[in-house]
Amino acid sequence: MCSVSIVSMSKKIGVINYGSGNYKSVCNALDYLSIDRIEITKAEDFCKAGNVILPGVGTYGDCMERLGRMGLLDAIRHEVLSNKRNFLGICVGMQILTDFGTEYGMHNGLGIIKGSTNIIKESKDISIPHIGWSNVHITKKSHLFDGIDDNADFYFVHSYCVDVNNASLVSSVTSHGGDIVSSIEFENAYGVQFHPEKSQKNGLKLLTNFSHL
Amino acid sequence: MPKIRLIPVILLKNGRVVQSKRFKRHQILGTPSVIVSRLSNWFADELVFLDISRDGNYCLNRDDLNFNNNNSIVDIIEEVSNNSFMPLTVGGGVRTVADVETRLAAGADKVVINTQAIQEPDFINKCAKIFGSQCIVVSIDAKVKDDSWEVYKNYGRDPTGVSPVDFARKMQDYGAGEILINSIDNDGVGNGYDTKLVSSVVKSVSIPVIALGGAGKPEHFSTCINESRPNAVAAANIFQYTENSYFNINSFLYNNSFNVRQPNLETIFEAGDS
Repeated sequence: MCSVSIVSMSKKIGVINYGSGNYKSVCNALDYLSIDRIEITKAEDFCKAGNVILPGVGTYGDCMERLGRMGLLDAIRHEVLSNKRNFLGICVGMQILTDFGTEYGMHNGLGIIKGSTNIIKESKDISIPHIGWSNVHITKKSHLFDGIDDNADFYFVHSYCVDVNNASLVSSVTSHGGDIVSSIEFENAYGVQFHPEKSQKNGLKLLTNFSHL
Repeated sequence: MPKIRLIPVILLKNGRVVQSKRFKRHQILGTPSVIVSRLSNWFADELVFLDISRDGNYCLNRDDLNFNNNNSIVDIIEEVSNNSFMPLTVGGGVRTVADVETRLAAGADKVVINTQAIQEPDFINKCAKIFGSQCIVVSIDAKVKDDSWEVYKNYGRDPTGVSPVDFARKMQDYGAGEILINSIDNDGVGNGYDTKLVSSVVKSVSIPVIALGGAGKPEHFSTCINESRPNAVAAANIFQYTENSYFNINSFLYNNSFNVRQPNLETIFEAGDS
């Protein structure tokens, strides 16, 4: 954990490495964009970083458990809530921002955004998991989507989605049966359900936008 | 509702990209890095790599100049994921949790499991719990038997006595996130998909289904989408030896009002500069 004065000094994007499948993919995308990055594996590493990305592939509980074992849960809460560090959670990395998740049992989340993570509601003609390229409808102006068209397609791969108590935190939705939350924004905390690191041009643009925050 | 995915499948055997016919004849098409660097420039919806080597022997005795000598599917995935920002799915020889972990760590987004799913269904459950259902794809190789189909294992060599519909349902119950249904009879023939086989599996599960086996021209993709309603249509050979085939098939579907992504001929390099 760091003091705020140090936070503002680094331009490097911190990428939290807790063994999630897409850590490398996120790094590859940043490298490709020539965005400096630094690996975060312990609380002290935040001091060397500016904005931070939490990649995510896997289950809610597994993700929380791994971060817990590394002693990163309180550090993330502190950096986001007290130090106001810009933070981007991807897929499960976004989901654990909520209070709890119900994937394979009940698991506590980071509790940064009021809400929960639950299985996508079944409905006719949709498959769960939601896998593939879907349109993202922007519902609130967000710098993450600067230069990205409304209804641009992004790559999704998930069975669970976020329900937030305060609907004004939702910045985009995607239709899959009903509308599912495809991104959230709460002050300096951002989350995307889709995978920008796998969404070709639109995804690279979004990561560039995040690096400019 | 996601768009219908159009997926090139790259078959690797002993470190070479090959073309397959009815799971038996494998003709070498080239060195992976050459083909892969071409694929990286495509705006494909997803790429599937299937390693069909049977002896784990990666002997590349001829190297094309200026390209890395890739020795394993993991190296190949690493190389592809460095340069292409699209979903990568990898299969072949996945038998343990560690196998899944290595492939995901190398940059794969999903793994395809075949023989191990038949031999140890609990393995699917175990993987789903650790990695999430969404990254566990079970592939089913099926062959016509009487007026139905039978699932084969070990690269299509050994019959199992199980029907693809029953097996697909079972795999869904065990936590598989997606089914890749492949017709052994139609593999590499180019006469179209086994739409009845694909339909039977699509109707039996609620998870996404990818159709594979038999595409030889753009109309085969549209026929399969119309008749079988899969979530994705995949093919191998047609993408390997026809110039701009991905763009052309994508355009054909798009222009015929199918729910596919807009075709894009830009290279990924231009995308990175924006």
